[in-house]
Amino acid sequence: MSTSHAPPGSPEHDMSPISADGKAVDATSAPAAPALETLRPTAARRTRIPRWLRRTTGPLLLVAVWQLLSSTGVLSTDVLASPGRIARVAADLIDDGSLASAMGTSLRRVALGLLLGILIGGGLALLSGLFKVGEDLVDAPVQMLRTVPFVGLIPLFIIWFGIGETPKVAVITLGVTFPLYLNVYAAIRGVDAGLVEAGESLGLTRRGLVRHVVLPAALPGALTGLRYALGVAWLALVFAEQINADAGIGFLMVQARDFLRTDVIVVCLIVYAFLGLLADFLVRSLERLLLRWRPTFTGR
Amino acid sequence: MTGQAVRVEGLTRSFDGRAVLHDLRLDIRPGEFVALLGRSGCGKSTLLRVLAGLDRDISGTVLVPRRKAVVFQAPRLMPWKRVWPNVVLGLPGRPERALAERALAEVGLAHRSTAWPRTLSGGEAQRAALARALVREPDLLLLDEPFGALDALTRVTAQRLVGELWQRRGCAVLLVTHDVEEAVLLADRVLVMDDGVIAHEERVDLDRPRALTDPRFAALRAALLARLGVDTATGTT
Ligand SMILES: Nc1ncnc2c1ncn2[C@@H]1O[C@H](COP(=O)(O)OP(=O)(O)OP(=O)(O)O)[C@@H](O)[C@H]1O
Ligand SMILES: [Mg+2]
Repeated sequence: MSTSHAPPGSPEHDMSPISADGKAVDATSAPAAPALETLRPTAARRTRIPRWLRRTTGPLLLVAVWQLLSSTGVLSTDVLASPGRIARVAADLIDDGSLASAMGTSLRRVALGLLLGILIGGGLALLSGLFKVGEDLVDAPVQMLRTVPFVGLIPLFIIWFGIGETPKVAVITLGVTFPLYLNVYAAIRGVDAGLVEAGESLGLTRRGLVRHVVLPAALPGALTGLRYALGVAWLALVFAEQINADAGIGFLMVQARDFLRTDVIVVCLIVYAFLGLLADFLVRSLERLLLRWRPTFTGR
Repeated sequence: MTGQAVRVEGLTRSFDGRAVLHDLRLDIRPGEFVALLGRSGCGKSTLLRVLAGLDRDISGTVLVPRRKAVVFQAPRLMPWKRVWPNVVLGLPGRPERALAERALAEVGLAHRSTAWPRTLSGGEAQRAALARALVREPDLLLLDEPFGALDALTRVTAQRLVGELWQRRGCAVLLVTHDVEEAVLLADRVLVMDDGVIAHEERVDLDRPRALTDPRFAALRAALLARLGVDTATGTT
């Protein structure tokens, strides 16, 4: 790069000689400077509003609009109770302890179903993911059963297990098993062959390979499966509790439906949503803890 | 074993009926530095994987030391382990951290021993992989284009490092490379592979450290390039 733009004595020279096709023919002519833009550092670009505030604004606005519609009478109580009324009903339900006991029952069902589902789904996935024999024996039947909608099995479960806790837990277990199986199995089979080979070359035994290479590599996929399974578990809970329940949030909802109490129904829905959020938060924390090594895109 | 670090006779390896290695013969003396050149796809990595014991789908005689280590073209560090646990991974018993630290210090990476692999630069990651190989105190070190993905400057440093480590450790080395200059710079013997066998061999009797400007160096390089089918008159790699 030379700093002198034009040869001395010919000040006009670098702009003038342009050939017929519009190209500059003079090699000494400097190219026109492009328009420049300032790249501001990310810190400056970020807004001053803290993240949690930005995240809570949306839901709060929604509630405000809802309250407005209710108090102006656009939204009648028979269709949907107002947020204020729902808050009062929620407080009542909490006070007389019925909500807490219902939540306890429901949580116990989900926890048990989830635990069994994780054991069965995860166990089967390990079998068919790690061993050829396991794959031949397990994968085909599981893939077949997977296509049966688990909710459709509720009548069968009632015949088999009666109307107690067992069929409810069974439905949840079934719902959880398949997404977990599919994700863990796919994750194990998707492990980078290069890393496995490297592990082999380092003298790892079969057990060492599974422990230090295959399982850690499959962990992100397994956690995705767990998150998905949690969603299904909640769905399964709602279905299971609508049938022959005598306790739990679903039972509370069925009762409320019989008395046309939209406020109680909404409280129950909110509780479901809240518990779902809580579960999701737990898995996210687990991911953050276990997958610290992973280079991920965290968003802007 | 008759005092050899590697002894291969009649080695054949086929993929789907096509013999990539065909009745191959190779001997490496203990402590010898051998470089292996050859066209892309001629079977260099295949040979290396056989020697590493990673590919047993073979026929023929292959004798290799029990203690051997590999560095691949990509570092292949376990991303879920920090650098030092990566270095001692697979060692028997409960290896101490100090052991890893020593090996890392040898490759100039002591300060990064608790880093996650993803935070290492390409050259650093490759040096960590080298430390991981060295900590096994191998009698045979297998290097499959370990500098292939590095930029030219880093490559020069890494080459020098491997040369030094080899002289200090005294292990036999088989270095697979595309770079004729690198081969002549480091090796006692340069092999050229073609048609599934070692088709040509060139002894490098230059004093170390070797200078690229040495006329004998240039002559050797030209001879090898000619063997590889590159005409040196019209330009080199
Ligand atoms: N798993 C495999 N299945 C089928 N063919 C293979 C397999 N691995 C290697 N080959 C074939 O064997 C031949 C030799 O491969 P190899 O990787 O040893 O080449 P290379 O000499 O290391 O080449 P490069 O210098 O490009 O790394 C290639 O033609 C390749 O396509
Ligand atoms: Mg190769």
